Amino acid sequence: MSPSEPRPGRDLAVVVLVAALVFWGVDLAVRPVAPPQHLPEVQEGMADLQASDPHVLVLGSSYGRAFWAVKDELARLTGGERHLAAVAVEHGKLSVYEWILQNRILPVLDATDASGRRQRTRLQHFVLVTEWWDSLPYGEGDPGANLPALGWTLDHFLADVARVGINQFNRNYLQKRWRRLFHDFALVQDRGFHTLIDSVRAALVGRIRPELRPEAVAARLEASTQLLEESIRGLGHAEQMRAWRSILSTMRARGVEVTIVLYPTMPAKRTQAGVATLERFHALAAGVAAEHGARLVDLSQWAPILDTDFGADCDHLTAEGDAKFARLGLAGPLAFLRNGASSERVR
Amino acid sequence: MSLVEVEFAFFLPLVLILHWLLPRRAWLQNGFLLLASALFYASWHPRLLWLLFVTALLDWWVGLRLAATPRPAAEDTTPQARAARRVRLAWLLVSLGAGIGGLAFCKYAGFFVEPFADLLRTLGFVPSTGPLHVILPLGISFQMLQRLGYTVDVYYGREPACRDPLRFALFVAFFPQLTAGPISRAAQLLPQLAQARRLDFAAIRTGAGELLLGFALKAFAADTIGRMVVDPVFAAPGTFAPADHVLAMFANALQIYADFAGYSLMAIGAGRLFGIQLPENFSVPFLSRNLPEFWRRWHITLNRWLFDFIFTPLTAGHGLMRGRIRTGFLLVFVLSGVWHASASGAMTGYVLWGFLHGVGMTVQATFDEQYRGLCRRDRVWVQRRKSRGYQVAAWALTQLFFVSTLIPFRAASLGDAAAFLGGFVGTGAQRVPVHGLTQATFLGLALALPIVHHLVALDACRGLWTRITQLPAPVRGVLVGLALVALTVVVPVGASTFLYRQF
Repeated sequence: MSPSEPRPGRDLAVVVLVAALVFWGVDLAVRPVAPPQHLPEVQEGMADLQASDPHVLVLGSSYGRAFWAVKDELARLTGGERHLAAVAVEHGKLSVYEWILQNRILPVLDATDASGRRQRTRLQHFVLVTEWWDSLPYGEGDPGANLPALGWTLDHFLADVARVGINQFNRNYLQKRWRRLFHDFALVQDRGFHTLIDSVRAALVGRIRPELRPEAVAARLEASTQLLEESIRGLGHAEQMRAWRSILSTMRARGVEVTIVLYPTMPAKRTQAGVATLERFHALAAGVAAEHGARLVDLSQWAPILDTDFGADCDHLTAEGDAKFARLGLAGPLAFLRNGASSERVR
Repeated sequence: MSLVEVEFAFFLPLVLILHWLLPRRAWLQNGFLLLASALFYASWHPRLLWLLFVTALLDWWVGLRLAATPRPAAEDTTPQARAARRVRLAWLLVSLGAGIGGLAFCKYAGFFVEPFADLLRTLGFVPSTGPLHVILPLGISFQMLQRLGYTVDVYYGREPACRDPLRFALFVAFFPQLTAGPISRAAQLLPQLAQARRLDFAAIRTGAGELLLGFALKAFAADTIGRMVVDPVFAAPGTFAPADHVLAMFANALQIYADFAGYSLMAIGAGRLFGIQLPENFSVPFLSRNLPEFWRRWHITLNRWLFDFIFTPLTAGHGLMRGRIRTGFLLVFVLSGVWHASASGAMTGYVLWGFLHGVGMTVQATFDEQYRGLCRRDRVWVQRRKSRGYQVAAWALTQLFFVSTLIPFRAASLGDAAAFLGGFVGTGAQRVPVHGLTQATFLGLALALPIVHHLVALDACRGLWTRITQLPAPVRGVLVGLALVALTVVVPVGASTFLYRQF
C-alpha cells in the first residue's frame, strides 16, 4: 500500500456511509410522490390485543382495518370505557382466519398470570368481518401466501423450515419481515413493482399518479365487478365453510357473543349479477349464523356507504370512509358493540 | 437457499458478523463455516443433510486410504507394486462409483424407468413401476465434481490427502459454492482452509462489489430478460414474429450468461467476504474469437475439470484414445451435455448441444491445422489472421455458433427447438410483450448490462473502468448508493429462478 493510498477500512466505511446517505436521501425525495403505506396488519392487531383486555375482538380480512376506526369511535363514545382490538388479515380466506384464531389469538386470550388466573376476562363480543371472496377456494398456484407473510411468527417459520426446508410458500414470511424491516422506505416498499417509477415520472410532468387516473380506476372497477359476478360459482367452498364453522363454534364455546359482519360492497359493483353473488353469500352466512347462534349484520349493500367512500382500489374504504363507517355503524347496526353481550345471545 | 433469495439477505450478514467476531483460529473458523453451510444446505431439505456429509466423509476416507497405500513408481513391476496399484485403483473406483453412481441415479433414473417398463410390457410382463420421483440433491453435480477432482488428484499423487475431516467437509460444503460452484480444486481451496483467515478490508470491498455486480446481473438482467423476452418466445416457439425469434435467441445467451456468471460472481464475492478466494468461473466469454478460447472463458471451472480429468488422461495417456484429439473433444462435450441434462428436463437437447460443440471444436482444430499449414507456406496468411476483418469475422462466427447452439439447450424438447428455428422464417405475428416506456427501458438496461460487463474488459474501456474504481471514496459511495437505489426499484419481485441450479 502506497503512503497516499487510503486505508482500506476507512475507504470502505466512507463508501458504505455515503451509499447509505444517498439511498436515504433518494428515498426521502420520492416519499412525497409515493409515500409508503402503513396499514394495520396482524402484527399490529396482535400487539394491541396483547397490550389490552378488549371487550370486542374483531377478526377478518383487510376489511378488518376499518374496525381500527370503529375502535377509536367506540373509545370516544364510551369515554375510553370499552376497548376493541382488530386483527386484520390482508388477502382474507376463512381458513387463514381460523389458523390465526387457533394459533395466535387463543393463546393470548388464554394467557394466565403467575397465580394461574386468566389475564383477559372482559371479552364480550367476537366479530368476524368477511365477504364472499373469503369463502372461495384458493386459486391454482395460490397457496395462501398471506398466512406465512402475515400470520406466522418466527417460531412457526422455523418449525416449517425444519420440516420441509425453505420453499416458495414459507419464504413469504421472510419477504414480509424484510419489507417490515424497512417499512419507512418508499424504495423498499415498492421493490420491483415499478409503481414508484411511474409515480415519479407522473410527478415530474405534473400528471396524476398512474393508479389514480380515471382510466386505471375504471379498469379496476370493471375487473373487480367481473370477479364479483363470476365468483358466484365458487362460493361456499367446503374447506372455507368448515373453517367458518370452526371459528364460530370455537368462539361460541368461550361464551362470547358472536357476530358476522359482511363488509360493504362498492355500489358501482352491484350489478344484477353482482347482487346475485352478494345475496347468495348472504344466504350462506345466514345459514352458518343460525347454526351457531351468531348475529348476522349484512352491510354488503348498506345504503349510507357510497361510491365516493371507497378508495382508488374500488374495494376498501378511504380513511374518511372508515370514519363514516365507524360513526354510522356504531350509531346503527353495530350499536350493540357499545354494550355488553346480551345474555340471550351468549347462551 | 439461494444467493439471490431474501433469506440470504438475512443469512449472510449474520454469518459474516459472527465469523469475524470469532478468534482467528482456522479450526474455529472452519467449524463455524461448516455449521453455516449445513444450515444453508438444510434450508433446502433438512432431512437430506446427512447426504452431504456422508458423501464428503466417504471421499475423505478414500483419500486417507490412498495415502496409506503409497503409489509405486511407474517402472516398479514387483508383485507388491501391482498389489498396491490394485488397492489404490479399488479405492478410486469406490469414490468414482459412489459419486458418479449417486449422480446418475438422482439425475438420470427417471429417463430410463419408463422405457424399461415399456420393454417389460412388450415382453409380456406387468411392471408395477409408478413414476419415479427422485429428489435431486442441491448442487449434487458440482459437489460430485469437486470431490472426484480431489480423489483423482490424490490417486495420481498430485495432492496430499487431507487428514482433517473438518477442513475436507468445508472444502466440499462451503456454502457460497454449494449450489452451483465455482468448482474448486483441492490445490487451491484446501491450503486456504488450513490457514486462519484475517480480516482484510480490501478483500471485503472487492467481495462486496462482486456481490453487488453479480446480483445486478442475476436478479435484474437475467430475470428481466427471461421474463420479458426469452420465456414467452421459448414457451410458444413459432408463434412469434421472426424478428422476435432472433431477439430471443440472442437474449437467451445474454440471460444464461447473466444468470450463471452473475451467480458465480456472487459466490466468489461471498467467499471473499470470509477471506476465501474461489476460482474465476467466467471471463468475458462473448469477446472470444474461436471456440477453444470461448471454452476457456465460459464456465471455466467445469471445462477445466473436464479437460484435466477426462480429455487429457484420454488423449495423452497410453490407451486407445492416445492422440485422438478430435474424438476426445466429441467425448468431452457430449459428456458435458449429459452432465447438464437435468432430472426434469429433456436429455436429448443437452446432449445435442454438447455434440454440436464437440463437432465445432473438431472443425476448429482441423481448420487451425490447415491454416497453420498455409502460414508455413506463406507468411501473408499470418498477416491475414491478424487483420481486423478476420478478427471480426472469427468473433462473429464463434458467437453466432454458440448462441444458436443454445436453442436446443434451452428448448423444452427437440420439437420445440425445431419450431423455434422454423420461427426465423415463419409467419408468426405475436410480439414480445413489452408495454410502455418503463418496460422498454428496463429491457434495454437488462440487455445492456451483460454487454457493458464485457465492454469494460476491452483495452479501450479498461482505463475508464480503472479511473472509476480509483475515484475518491465519497464519489464511489454516491455511485454505489445510486446502484442500490436502482436495484431496489427495478429487481422484479419474486425473481428467484436460477437456471443453473437444476444442474
